[in-house]
Amino acid sequence: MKYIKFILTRAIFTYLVFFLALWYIPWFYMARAHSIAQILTRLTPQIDYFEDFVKPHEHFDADKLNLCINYHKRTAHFIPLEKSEAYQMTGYCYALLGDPSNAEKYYQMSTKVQSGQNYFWPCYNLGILAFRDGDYNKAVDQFQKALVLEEDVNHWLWRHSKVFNDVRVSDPKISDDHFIENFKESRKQAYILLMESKVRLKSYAQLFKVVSLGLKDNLGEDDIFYYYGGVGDYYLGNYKEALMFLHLALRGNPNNSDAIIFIGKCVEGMGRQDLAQEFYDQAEIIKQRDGPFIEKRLNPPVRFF
Amino acid sequence: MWRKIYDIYIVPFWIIVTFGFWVFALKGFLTLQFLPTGDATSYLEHTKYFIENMARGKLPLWDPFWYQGVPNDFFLRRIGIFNPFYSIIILLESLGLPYVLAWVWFWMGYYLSGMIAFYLLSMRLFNNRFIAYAGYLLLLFSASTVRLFNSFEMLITIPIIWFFYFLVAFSQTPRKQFFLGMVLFFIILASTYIPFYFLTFFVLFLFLFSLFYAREIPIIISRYAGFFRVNKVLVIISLGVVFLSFLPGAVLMCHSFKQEIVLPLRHGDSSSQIAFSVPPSTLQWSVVEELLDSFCFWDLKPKGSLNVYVPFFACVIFGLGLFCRISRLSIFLLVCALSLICIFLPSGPPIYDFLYNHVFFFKTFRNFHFFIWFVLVPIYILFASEHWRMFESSLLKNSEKNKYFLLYVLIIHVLVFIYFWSIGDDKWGSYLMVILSFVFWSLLIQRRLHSDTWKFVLLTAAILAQPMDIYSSFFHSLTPPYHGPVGSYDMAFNKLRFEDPIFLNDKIPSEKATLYYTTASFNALFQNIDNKILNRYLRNKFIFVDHLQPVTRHNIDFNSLGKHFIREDNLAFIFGDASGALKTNSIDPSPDVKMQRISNEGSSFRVLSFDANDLKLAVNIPYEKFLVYNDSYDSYWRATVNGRATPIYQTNIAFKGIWVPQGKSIIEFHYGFWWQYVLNIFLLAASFILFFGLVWFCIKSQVLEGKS
Repeated sequence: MKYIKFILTRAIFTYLVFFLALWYIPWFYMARAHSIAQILTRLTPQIDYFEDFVKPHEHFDADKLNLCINYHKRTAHFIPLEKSEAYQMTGYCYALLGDPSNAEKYYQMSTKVQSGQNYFWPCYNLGILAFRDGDYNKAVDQFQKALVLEEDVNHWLWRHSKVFNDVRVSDPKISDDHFIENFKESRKQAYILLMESKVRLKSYAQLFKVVSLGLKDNLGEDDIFYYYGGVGDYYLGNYKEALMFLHLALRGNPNNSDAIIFIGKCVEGMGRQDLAQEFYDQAEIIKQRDGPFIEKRLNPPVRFF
Repeated sequence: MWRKIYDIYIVPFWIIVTFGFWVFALKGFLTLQFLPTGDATSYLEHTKYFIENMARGKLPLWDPFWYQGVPNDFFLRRIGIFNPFYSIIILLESLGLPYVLAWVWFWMGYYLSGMIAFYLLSMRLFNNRFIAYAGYLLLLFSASTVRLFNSFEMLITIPIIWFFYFLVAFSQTPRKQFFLGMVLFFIILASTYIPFYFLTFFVLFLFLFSLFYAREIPIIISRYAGFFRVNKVLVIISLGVVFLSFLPGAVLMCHSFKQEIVLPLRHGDSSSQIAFSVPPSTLQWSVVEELLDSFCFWDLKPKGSLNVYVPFFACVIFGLGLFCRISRLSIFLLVCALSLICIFLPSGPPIYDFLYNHVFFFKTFRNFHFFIWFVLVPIYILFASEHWRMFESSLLKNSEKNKYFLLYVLIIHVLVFIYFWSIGDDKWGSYLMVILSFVFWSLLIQRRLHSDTWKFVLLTAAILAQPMDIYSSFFHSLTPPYHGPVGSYDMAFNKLRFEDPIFLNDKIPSEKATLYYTTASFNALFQNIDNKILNRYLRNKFIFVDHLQPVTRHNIDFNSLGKHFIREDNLAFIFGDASGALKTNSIDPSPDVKMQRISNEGSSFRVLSFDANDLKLAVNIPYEKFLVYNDSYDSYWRATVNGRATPIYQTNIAFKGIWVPQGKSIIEFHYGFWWQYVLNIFLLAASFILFFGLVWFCIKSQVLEGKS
C-alpha cells in the first residue's frame, strides 16, 4: 500500500494519465490528425519543377528534392492512409536525385501497403529501375503487375489522395485529361519495355502473348507491337511471318529504322545478302537523321502520374 | 562596501548582466540592421501615428492615410493606447533618437520589464531567488524575443505577466501598490480591440483556481475585504475606471455593428454582423498545430523561423521533478494550460463549437496559437520551475540519499545528450548546456556550491549556452528585410496632400485584393471599380461639382460610376436617402462640363488647418458649388460652414461632400463626438495616475521597509 501510494503521488504518474487520456480520446486524436493534415498541406513543397518529366536529372535542385523527400517521409509517418502515395513520391524524388537503390526501396514499400497494390505507378517505376539495372526478369515481373492495374481505379485513387491532390492544386495545368493521357502513354511504355525485356531474355514465345495483349489494348501506335512481333519471329527463324509483321510496323511508321534493319536481317537470313545491304543502308540514313528508333524509347523517366 | 552592495543587489546585478547578453544576442534588431517585420511593422506605424499626434495634443480618432481614411479607433485599440509606457518613446524621440530606434529600444525596455515581472511573480510563487532567476532567464531567451520584432503578442503578454504578478502579490499581501498595478494592467488589457484572449484566460484561471484552491478562497476574500474596508474610495474609483476601460472597445464594436467599418480579410464570408468576427473557414492555427509544426516539422520549414522555443534547460528541470511528489501548483498549471488548449481546439472536443455558437466573442478569435506566447510559454516555465522546487524539496527531505539523486541527475543529462544526438542537433550550445547543467546540479546536490555568485554564474551559463548559439544562427540565417532607408517609416502624418499619386498608389493595391481594414463603402467601391480608374479619380483630395445625382443605396450602378470617373463629369453621386432636403444642382448659370479638381492652394481655396480629426478650409467661389472631399465617409463626421452645421453627404459611394455657398466661407470638418475624446483622455489620464500612484506607493513602501 505504501509503495502504491508512493507511485500514485509521483508527478510522472499524473502526467502519464493526462498524456494517455489526451492521446487516446478520439477527439484529441482527430484534432491531432486534422492539425497534421493542415500543416502538411501548408508545408507542401513547391513542385512546379516536376512538371517536366523528360529533363535530365541535373535539372533538378537537390535541396528541393531532399526537402520533398523529408516532407513525404513525414507524411507517410503521420498519415497512415497516405502511406502508399507518400512512399511513391519519396521513391520518385530519390529516382530524380539519382539514387536508384533508395527509389526502389520506397517504391517497394509503397507496393506493400494495401492501398498501394492498386497503383500502377510504383510497379511501372520499379520496372523502369529494374530495366535500367539490367534485371529483366524483375522488370518483366513489375511491368506485368503494372499492366493488369486499371486506369479507372488509379484515377479514383489519384483524385482522392491528399498527396496527389496537393500536387494537383499546386499546378493548375495538371488536369484529369493530363492524367488519362499520361496513364495511356505509360501503359504503352510499359508494354515496350516488357517486350524489350522479353527479347533480351529470349522469351520469344511469351513475347507474342505480350504483343497480342498490347494490340488488344488498343493504345495506339500499333506499329511498335508489330515491330516486336517481327523481332520475335525473326529470332524464331520465321522470316516470312517476321517480314509480314515488320512491313506492318513500317506501314504504321516508315521511319522505324530498327524495323528496316530487321527486314534486312530477315532478307539476309533468306539468302539475299545484296538486298539486305540496301535495307541496312536505308536504315542507317534514317538513323542518322532521326536517331535510333527503339533505343530512345527504352529509357523513359519515372513518373508519379 | 562594494561587496555589501553586490550582496544586497546580487539579483538585479545578474538581471542586468544577462540582459546585456540578450542585447548582444539581438544586436541586429537593436541597431536596426534588421527591421521589424510582419505585424510588428503595422504596429510600429500606428504607434507612431498615435504618439506623434498625442505629442501635438491630438487624440487621432481618424486616420486619413489608410485607404482614403478610416476610423482610427480600431488601430488605437490594437496598440492599446492606455499604456502609459508609450510616453517613453516620446521621451526617446525628444532625446534625438529616430522614431524606429526609439520604438525598438522602448520595446526592449518594455520586454525587460515583463521579464522582471515574471521574476517577481516566480519569487511570489516559489520564494526562491534561483528558481525565479532561472524562470526569468528562460522567458527572456524564449522565442518571445523573436515575436517581439515580428508580431505584437508581447503587447498583451507583458501586461498579462504584470497583471498576474500584482494579482498574486495583492492576494498574498493586500497593498495599495499591488492593487493599483492590478487595475492599471487590467485597463491596458481590457481596452485592446480583442480583450477576449486575456479575459477568457482570466475567467478560466479564476474557475480553476476556485476548484484547486477552494480552501484558500475564504482567506483571500477576507484579505480583499480588509483592504476594501480601509480603501473604499480607492477601490470604488478604480473599479469604476475598470468598467469604463471596456467602453472604448464596446464603442468600436457598436461602430462595427453599424457596418460602417469592415475587415474583409478577417471577416471573410462570416454571416455575423460584427466586423471583427471570423467565419470558421478563416480560423488560423490552433495551439496544437503550432506546437506540432514547430517540433515535428521544423526541418521542413525555411531557415530563420523560430516560433516556439524555450531554452532546453527548462526540459532538464522538468525531467528532474518527474519522480518527485506531485504538487497542487503543478497540476493546476497543467490543467490551466490543457484546458485553454482544449477550449480552442476547433477540430477537437465540441467545446469550441459550442462556445463559437453561443458566446459572441468567440467569433472574434482567429489566431488561437497566439495563446502560446500570451500565456502558455510563461505557464510552461512556471511549471518547470515548480518541478525544480519539487526536486529541491525531495532533496532536502532525503539529504542522506545524495548519491541516488546524483545518479538520477546523471541519467537525465545522459538522456538529454542522447536526444540531441539522435535528432542530429548541430548546435554546440545544446551539448554545452548539458555539460554545464550537469555540473551545476551535481555541485548543488553535493552542496559544494557555497557561493551565490558561483551559483549564478553556473546557472546563467547553463541556461544561456543553448539560446546564445541558437540566436546567433537565427540571425545569420536572416537577410536584412528592408534595404530602403529606415526613414521610409518616418512618414510625416500631419501634412495634407492635395495631389499625391505615388502615395495613393502605394496604399491602394494595383490589383484587386482583399483589404484588411477599411470603411464598408470604400471596400465596395474598391471591389467594383477598376483600380486604375479609381486611382486616377483619387488623385485629388478635393473636387468641386455643380450637379448631384441621387442613387439607390442597394442598387448601385458601378459601371456608370466608373464611366463618370473616366469622363470626369461635373457630377457627383449621392444616396437618395440622404437626410434633409436634397438639392441636386448649383446656381452657376454656366457650369463647367468637367468636375473641377483642386490641385493646389490658391486665393479661392486654402487649407487653414489639418490634422487627424479636423480640416479647416477657406473657400471663395463665385457661385454655390458642391465640394467633394475624397476622404472616406463615416457617420461620426460633422461639418460646419461659417460656423453653422451643414449636412455631410456620402458622395461617390465612399466619400464626403457638402454644399458650399457662394462667396467667402470657412468650412470645418471634424471627426468624432465629444464623449469619445473625453472617455479616451480620461482613461489615458487615469492610466498615468494609476502608474504614478503605483510608483509612489512602491517607493513609500520601500522607504517604510527600510526604516523598519
